[in-house]
Amino acid sequence: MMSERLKVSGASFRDPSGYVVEREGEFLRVVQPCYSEHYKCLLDSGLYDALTGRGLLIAHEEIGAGGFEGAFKVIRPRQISFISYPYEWCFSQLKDAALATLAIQKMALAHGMILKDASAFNIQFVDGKPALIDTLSFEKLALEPWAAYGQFCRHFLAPLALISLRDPRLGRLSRIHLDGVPLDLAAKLLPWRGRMNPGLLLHLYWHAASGQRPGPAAAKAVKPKNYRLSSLLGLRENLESAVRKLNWQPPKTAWASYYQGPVTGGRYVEHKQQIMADFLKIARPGSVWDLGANTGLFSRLAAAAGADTVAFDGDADCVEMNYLEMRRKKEPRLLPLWMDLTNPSPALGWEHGERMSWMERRKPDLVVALGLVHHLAIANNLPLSRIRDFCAGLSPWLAIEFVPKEDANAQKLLSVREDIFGGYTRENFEGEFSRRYTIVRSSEVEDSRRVLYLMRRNQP
Amino acid sequence: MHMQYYQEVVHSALMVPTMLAMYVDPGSGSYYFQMLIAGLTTVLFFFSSIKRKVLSLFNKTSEPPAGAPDASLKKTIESKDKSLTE
Repeated sequence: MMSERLKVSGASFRDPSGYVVEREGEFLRVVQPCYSEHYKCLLDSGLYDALTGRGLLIAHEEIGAGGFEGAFKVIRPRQISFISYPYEWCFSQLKDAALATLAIQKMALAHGMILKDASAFNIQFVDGKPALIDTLSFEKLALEPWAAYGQFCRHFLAPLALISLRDPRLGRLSRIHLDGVPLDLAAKLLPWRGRMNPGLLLHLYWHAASGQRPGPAAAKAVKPKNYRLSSLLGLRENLESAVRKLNWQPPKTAWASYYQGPVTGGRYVEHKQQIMADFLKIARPGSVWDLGANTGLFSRLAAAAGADTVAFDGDADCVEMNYLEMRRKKEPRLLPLWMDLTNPSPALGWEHGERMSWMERRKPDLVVALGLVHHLAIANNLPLSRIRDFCAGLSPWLAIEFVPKEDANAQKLLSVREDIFGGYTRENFEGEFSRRYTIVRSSEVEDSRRVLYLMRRNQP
Repeated sequence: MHMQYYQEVVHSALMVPTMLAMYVDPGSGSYYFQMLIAGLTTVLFFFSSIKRKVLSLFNKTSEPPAGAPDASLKKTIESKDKSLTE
C-alpha cells in the first residue's frame, strides 16, 4: 500500500524494472525484484563506480524500502535542479548527449552489461555535462542485436542529421515524435547529399528501408546465436563515428550578434551588467530563469554569483552559441535552452503526464527579463497586465527591463505596423506591475532610454 | 502462402526469445538490420582495433577515448564471446 504522500511519475510506466515517485518534493526510484540481478551486477561489476566517477551516471544512495510494498530497493538519486527535454536542446547539446550515451554503452559492454534503452529523455544536463539519470537502464549482457539501436537512431542520429544537413528548427520534430523521429521521415526530409555520409547511409537510409521491408531480407540474416560482442562494439563505434561527423555552425543572425549591434553601444551593456550585479546581491537567488537570454551575457552573472541558471531563448543560433561558450568556460551552473516563450513546451505523452510542460517544472527564485517586454507587448500584442501575471506566476523576484517606444529597437518593431499600443508607457508599466509587486530598485541604464527594475512579489 | 509461412518461421526463430526479455520494442526492422550488418560492423571494429594499436605504437602517452579502457574491453571480448556463444 503506497502512502498518500507519494506521487508516481507519469513517465514511469514502461519499464517493469522500477518506477519513479515524488515524496515531499524529492524524487526516488523504486527498484522491483525482477531487476535485482541486474542491479547487483551494476554495482558488483564496477560499472556504477566507473560511470558515476566520470559523471556519466547520476549517483544515488539506497534508502529504506519502508512504505514501498514488494520493492527490492528504494534509491535516492542526486536531485536535478531543472529537467529539460531533447526538443529544448541546441544541436551541440543533443550531440553531446548522443556521445555520452555511446560512451556509457562502451563502458557497459566492458563490464559485461548493456544499455537496454537509449532514450534521449534519460539524459539530463548535470553540472553542465550530459549524464544518464535512469539507473535501471542496464542489463546483463546477452549476445544479440542491441535492442535500443533503433531508439538511438530515432532519438539522436535522425534529429542531428536533420539539423546538420537541413535546418536547426527541425530539432522540434522530437516534440511531435516522442519516441524519436521516424527514420523514413528523416530520410525523406534530408537532402540527397545525406547519402554521401557513410554513417547516415548505413544507420539512417538503409536502416529506414529495412524497417519497411523486414521479411525477405531477414532470411539471409545471421542467427542470434552467432552474434558476437565485436559486432556490438563495432556498431557502437560506427554510430559514434557517424555522430561525430555531423556538425552545425550557427549563422550570424541578428540575435546572435545582438550585443555587437549599434543599438547596444556606449556604456549601455557595461552599466546594465553593473545594475544586474547589484540586483543579484539584493535578491540572492538560489535559482534563476533568464527569459530571452540571447547568448547568455547576463545569465553568466547569475551563474557566477552561484545561482542555478537556466538561460532560455527562442533563437536556436543564440542557444548554440551560449552552450558552446558554457562548455568552453566550464560553467556548471548554466543551462542554455531553446524555448519560445509565446509557445512554450506543453505537457506531452500519455494523459499529458510523460513530459512536463514548461510551467510545471521547478520554478526559480528570480526571473530575469531583459530586453523582452517590448517584444511581448508590441510584437506579440500582450497587455502589460498579462505579462505581469505571467512573471508573478513564476518567481518571487523579478528583474525586468522596460523598453520605451522611443527606443531604437521598439521603433523597429513599430515601423512595420500601426501603433495601437497607447497604454505602453513607463507610467502604466510601473502602475500595472505595482499591483502585484513592490519595486525594490529602479535604475535608468546609461546611453539608452531603458529602465531596469528589481521587484519583489507581494504576498497574496 | 509459402513466403508468409517462411517469414513466420524466421520471426519465431529469431524474435520470440528476444522479445520476452525486452521492454523497449526494438522494431523488427532494426533487429534484422543489425544481424544483416553484423559482419560489416565486426570487420570495421577489427580494422579500427588494428588502427588503434598501430597509432598507440607511435603515441604512447595518448589518453584512451571516453568510455572504458581498451584493455578491459579486450578482456570482456575474450571471456564473453566464448562463454555466451557456446
